[in-house]
Amino acid sequence: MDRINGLLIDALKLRIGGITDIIEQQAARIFSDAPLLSAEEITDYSLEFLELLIVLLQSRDALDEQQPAFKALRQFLASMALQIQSRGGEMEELVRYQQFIQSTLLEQIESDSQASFEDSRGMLMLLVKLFNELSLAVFQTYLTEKEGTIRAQQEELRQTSTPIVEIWDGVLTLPIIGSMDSARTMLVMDKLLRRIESDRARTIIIDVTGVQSVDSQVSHHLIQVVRAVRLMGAEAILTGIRADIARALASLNIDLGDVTTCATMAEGLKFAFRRLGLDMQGRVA
Amino acid sequence: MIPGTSMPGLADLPLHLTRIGTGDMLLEPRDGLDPDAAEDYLEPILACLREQHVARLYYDVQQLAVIDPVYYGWMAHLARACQAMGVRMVAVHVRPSAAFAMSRYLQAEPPFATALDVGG
Repeated sequence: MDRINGLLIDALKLRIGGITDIIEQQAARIFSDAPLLSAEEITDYSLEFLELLIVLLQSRDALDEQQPAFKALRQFLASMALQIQSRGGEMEELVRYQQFIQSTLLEQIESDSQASFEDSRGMLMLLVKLFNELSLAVFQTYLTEKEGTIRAQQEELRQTSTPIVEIWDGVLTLPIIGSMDSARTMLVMDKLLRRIESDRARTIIIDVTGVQSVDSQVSHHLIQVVRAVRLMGAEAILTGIRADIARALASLNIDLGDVTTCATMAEGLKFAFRRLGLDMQGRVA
Repeated sequence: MIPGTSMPGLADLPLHLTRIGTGDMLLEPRDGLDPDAAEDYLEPILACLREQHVARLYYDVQQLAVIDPVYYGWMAHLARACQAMGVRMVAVHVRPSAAFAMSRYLQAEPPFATALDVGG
């Protein structure tokens, strides 16, 4: 611990009561509107923050990210960020809170008339650098968390947007909604082929009613799925090709001649049942 | 070469050929099968099919996680030869990864049929 750190600690300890009061009042204004934190939580957080800051200043190099005291303070702020996030808050609130603590501390040091110009400058520089490092670390944690959430949501969307349902022994349906790109085709194909293997499915009805538009790449992907299904020894029936999509396929010179197609999923089901030798009779109760 | 074929005349080939019913035979390739040496296997297999009056040959590819173009070439070659003799070849137990790989490079229908299982 060098001289500047010692002076800063002394300054903080000397004014800890006043600093805590100011921080609590301001934090209450920032967090209570939503409300994101209760008054007790604000008090606890503010005290803990100052305690961790003093522990960090007591260590040999306060700016070293690898040392435990820095990690503890970063972890504290990250936990606080997650809590605020989970309650509907934004990063902005935490940044404002941090900035306010920083400016409060700077004001308190500046008001210390006993400190020399050089000492005041050293303490200010140290605080500014420290808070910059902390802001960066918290921002990275926030971004990582946000990216993780987005990835999880995308995965969930992918899983739910390709529901493969066995509607009869050996008959699977796969309604495709949205657009097909290479990544999605691979996911769909992987899921579908595994289901064919595990369910010993013989007929797969791929319904494209929900596909918004078809370009040459999408049609190529569709044909690839149909071909892969066939290579497994099952039969794929393509249903729900709308007029505009049929026109697009024709203008793209895509030949679906060797692909079984039906107008609707209902027609596809009837076709599949006929292929399985099932006799369907419509009866009114 | 892995011996162990159930049919006489094929003992030295890395494959297993078994009669599984009237007019049906099952071909199971072994690890040592070299698709580049197709000509070495073709004639003994075809001779056996002819001798046994086979109408349908099931080619079991369960052991193959991926069927690459070279291996596919061998299967297509065998299927066309079978077709010339009036034997229908059916590839069975195609694994999802193999079907996926084949669908990426195949531009036309293969010269053999596919089925989930023998008899399918």
